[in-house]
Amino acid sequence: MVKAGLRNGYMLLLFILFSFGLNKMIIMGNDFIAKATDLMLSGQPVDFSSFIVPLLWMIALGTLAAYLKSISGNHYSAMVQRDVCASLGEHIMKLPFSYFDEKGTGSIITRLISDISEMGRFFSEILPELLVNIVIVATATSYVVEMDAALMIVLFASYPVMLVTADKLSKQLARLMKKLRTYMDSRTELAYDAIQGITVGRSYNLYKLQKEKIYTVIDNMVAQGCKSTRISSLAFVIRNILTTIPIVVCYLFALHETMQGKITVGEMLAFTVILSRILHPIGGVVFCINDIRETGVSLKRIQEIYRQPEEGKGGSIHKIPETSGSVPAVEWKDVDFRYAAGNGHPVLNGMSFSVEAGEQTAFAGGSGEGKTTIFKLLCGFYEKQGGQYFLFGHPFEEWGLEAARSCFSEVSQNVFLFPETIRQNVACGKENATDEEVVEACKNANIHDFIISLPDGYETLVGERGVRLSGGQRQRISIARAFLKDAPILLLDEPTASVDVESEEKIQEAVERIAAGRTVIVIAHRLSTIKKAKQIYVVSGGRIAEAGNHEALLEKQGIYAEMYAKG
Amino acid sequence: MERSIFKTFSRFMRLMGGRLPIYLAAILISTIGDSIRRIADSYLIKNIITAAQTGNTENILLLVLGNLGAFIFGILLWRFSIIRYNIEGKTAAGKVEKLVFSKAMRLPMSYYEQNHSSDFMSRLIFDTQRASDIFTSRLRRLLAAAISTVIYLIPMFCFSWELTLCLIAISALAFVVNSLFAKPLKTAGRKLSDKNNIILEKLTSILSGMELIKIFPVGSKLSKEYGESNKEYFQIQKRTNHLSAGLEGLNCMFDLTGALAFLGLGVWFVSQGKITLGELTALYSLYGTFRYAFLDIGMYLPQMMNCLANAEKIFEFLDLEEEPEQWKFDSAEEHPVISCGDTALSINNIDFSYPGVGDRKILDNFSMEVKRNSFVAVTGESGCGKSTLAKLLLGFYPPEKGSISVNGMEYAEMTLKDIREQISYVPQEPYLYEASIAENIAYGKYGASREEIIAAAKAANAHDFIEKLPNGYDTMLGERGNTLSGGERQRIAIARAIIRNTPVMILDEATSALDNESETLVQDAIKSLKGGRTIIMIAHRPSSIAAADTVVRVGG
Repeated sequence: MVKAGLRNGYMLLLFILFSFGLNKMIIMGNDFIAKATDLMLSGQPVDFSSFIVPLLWMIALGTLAAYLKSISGNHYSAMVQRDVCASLGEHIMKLPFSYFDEKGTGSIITRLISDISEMGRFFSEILPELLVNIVIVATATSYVVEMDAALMIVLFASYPVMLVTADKLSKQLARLMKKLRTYMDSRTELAYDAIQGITVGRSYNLYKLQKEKIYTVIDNMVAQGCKSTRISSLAFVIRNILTTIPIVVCYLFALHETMQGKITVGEMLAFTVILSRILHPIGGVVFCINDIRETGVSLKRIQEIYRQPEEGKGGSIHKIPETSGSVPAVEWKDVDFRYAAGNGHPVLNGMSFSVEAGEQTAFAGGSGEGKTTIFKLLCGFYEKQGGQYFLFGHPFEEWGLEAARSCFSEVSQNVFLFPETIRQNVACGKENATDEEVVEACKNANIHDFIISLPDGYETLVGERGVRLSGGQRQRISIARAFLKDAPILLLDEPTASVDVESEEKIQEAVERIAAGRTVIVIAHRLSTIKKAKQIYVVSGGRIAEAGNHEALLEKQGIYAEMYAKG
Repeated sequence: MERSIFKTFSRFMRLMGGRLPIYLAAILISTIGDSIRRIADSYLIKNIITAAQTGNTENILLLVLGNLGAFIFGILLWRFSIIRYNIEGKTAAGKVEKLVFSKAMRLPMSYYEQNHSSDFMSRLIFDTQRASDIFTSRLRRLLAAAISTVIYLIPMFCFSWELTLCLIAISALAFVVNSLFAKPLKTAGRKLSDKNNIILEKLTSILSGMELIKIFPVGSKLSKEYGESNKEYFQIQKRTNHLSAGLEGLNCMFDLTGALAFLGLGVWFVSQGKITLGELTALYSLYGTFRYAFLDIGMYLPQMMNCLANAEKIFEFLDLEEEPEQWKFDSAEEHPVISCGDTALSINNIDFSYPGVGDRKILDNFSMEVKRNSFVAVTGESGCGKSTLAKLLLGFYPPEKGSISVNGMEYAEMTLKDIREQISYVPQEPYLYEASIAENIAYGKYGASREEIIAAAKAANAHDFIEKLPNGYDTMLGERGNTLSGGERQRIAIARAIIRNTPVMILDEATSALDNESETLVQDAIKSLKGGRTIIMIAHRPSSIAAADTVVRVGG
């Protein structure tokens, strides 16, 4: 971000230059008027026509300078924003999945969006305004100093006081604003909460209770807002008094000089006009601290994202190597894993298993036993902390991450659908997939008939502005994606929710079709569907507790048998 | 159009009630205070310049102090009234929010089923905030600009009416030019914000689709699209920059021309003795403030109109029909008086179809009787009306024909609140509020003690897992801390239903989304409730209905 700011710095320099030029024009114009005044006051006839041409020039040049100043300033902010957004997007794509998984995508999105707009505000409003104010104050000051250096001291004598009060007030204001924002957030949350849970709220007669909760938060919001006006209006009062008094002193000083005959009345006139122009900017320079502080938080957060290390590229294997049938597709030996955010609680604890190529392997076990974590490690979203992981006979570390991931497709009910058309959502399984391929994949996934029954067919938008798809339909879309990707290993996250009988059959058929000839790894939530699996691993306590096929496991009379009996 | 905007405006203002005069007075006084400050400023300059010109400095210190006094008086007056203004404005804005949010909770059920909650809520919050802006900023800005324009004109005319007229002419010209730019600038602004939304949408796609991006070859396409829209945004911005720079250049030209011509002309006036040099300078400094206030009118008026459009949407929302206190049954006169005996629920010959779905009857002359404290399973194909039955029993919709009674009381004679006091409902995907587990359970019974909460959790087979959580019953739920499994959430919902201790409990597909283990736990919990109350279980899986006393098939 800083880099982008500096790289486009030349635009900012132009901006400063033009604002300087504009101010120079104004000051020159004033000088002209001063001279005319003096001439007139001395009783000489004033030849106005001789003033007209230079004045017109000044107007023309001033207009041009204002135009160029505006262009360069706005261009600067546009360029910086463009560069930051571009590099930020690129960087985010390369961050490891664990970053998003642990922080929660939702909160990253809401924060990032507001941070980006704050960043835009900094470069398009706050920074240029600060610079313009500095230029105005500087040019005016130099004008004042020319008259008497001592005036500068008068002019800036109140600055320390102003700095201190501005700093104090803005800190206080920032605290209040933060609180206000928390109230606003909780108001929004409460409202969403009440509406999303309306079925419960209504059947439990919670209206009064929830209304009171929201009302209390709104009342707090109002009170907080009133408190902050007290402070911001006080800041305004102090700022005005503190900037006005030194300027009045300067006026009086100039009056004194005029009485002494050191400057003419015309010069005095020009002097007052210039001074009244800097009244506002002089306070602006100090009181923008608050704005800078507020955006500073956002800028820091963006920097924080930049500082996150990108995901490595992994090892040197870039293509799925030819394998002989005897090598297991996946093999784990004593794999340990714990989430960084999980208070050191181990999720996988010496997990060992092997998955034979071309066969179906299932993982069963209670919820929270780490079945989903196995998938995340298989795809390299997280790194194991101990043990070994072989993919097609090669240690995972030797694999390029991209190549390793090209070995897997995932089918699940909770797949993310991009807010685009169904076609685009399926096509993302394969680069440059043709329309025929997409249709073919959808037919194989038993979803084609449903898609063409929609008014817009394959061009139907999904997501918030389009159709809402059921779990079963989403699952079939993810099967279609997997067909397109055509990866050797299929990760199948069994649906937990039951769908109606008809779509269950359709899904089953599609799954069998895609499973044929592939290595399939299933996470089972209900045991009825994995009876046919070649090998079933029962996960418990972060390791494999039992292994074998359905019949063998039943004979063992262990965890599996108990679970099966309950189902 | 104009008329309806005015109507909206007056209706919106009436929301303030008796506080409106105070609010308006605060606006007026704050504007006057601010004008006094600026006028005092210009008189100060006038006095100093006059002293310089005439060489008469006798009273100058006194005069300056007097001006400073007026200055400080003005600014304090401003502060006093602006605080009052903000209190009134923000309170009124809070009132609007209260109206809107409590309304949002009182709509008929069909509204929530037809509108996606997060869509309509985010629109609602946006409209409410924009409309409330009228109270907290928009109206004052517009009025302040208009009032102060008039106030400034008084001393200006006193100084020199000829010059002032001349200045008004220049300002009017600037006003026209600015309003000419307003429309293209607005169009450009809309284009920019549309494009910006697209960029943010793409970014959101990238972020929420991260898992897919890592597995499927979709990353390069997304990042290309993102990069392209970013570039397009830049191009539009570049074009917009020329437009706004053009306006800024022109404004600067008016500013310079006005100032220089005015001063030139003024000096000539001075030489003619029509105005003093001091007055001229004062007039000039006032003109600066006048000009901005004048241009502000042109800027704030359309903004105010936009906010009023939002206010109109809010009123449309507020005017929506609410769920009534009690349904009017068409067949109210013919309901038979039932001797309730041991009948908990009796449904007699009801017809029902959803509004707007044509004539398809979901329930056609459906009757059912449920004995007190029995356990009834309701099954049937999906779409046969099982869940609709639950909605009718809860009074979410009125039946088109027929009657329902609970414990001998006719629905036609009960308020919806009373009906719901009789029934506890556990939906398939139970909603847990963004509150602690204890609070979520306590929602079932206002002011429930910790012991009652724990007892309910135990009865729902939830106590053990809750105890194992690091924060136990104080664990926060909801989107942020959503770490509970479906079965665990379901059991909390059942505990919430248990604590209410209503005569009837309806479980709608309570176990169909669960894995074997959770299902067993939930089933056990339900079984343990048998006998103590009437339980209606809507389900289609054989394992769920095994424990029922009676099985009722709907449809088919």
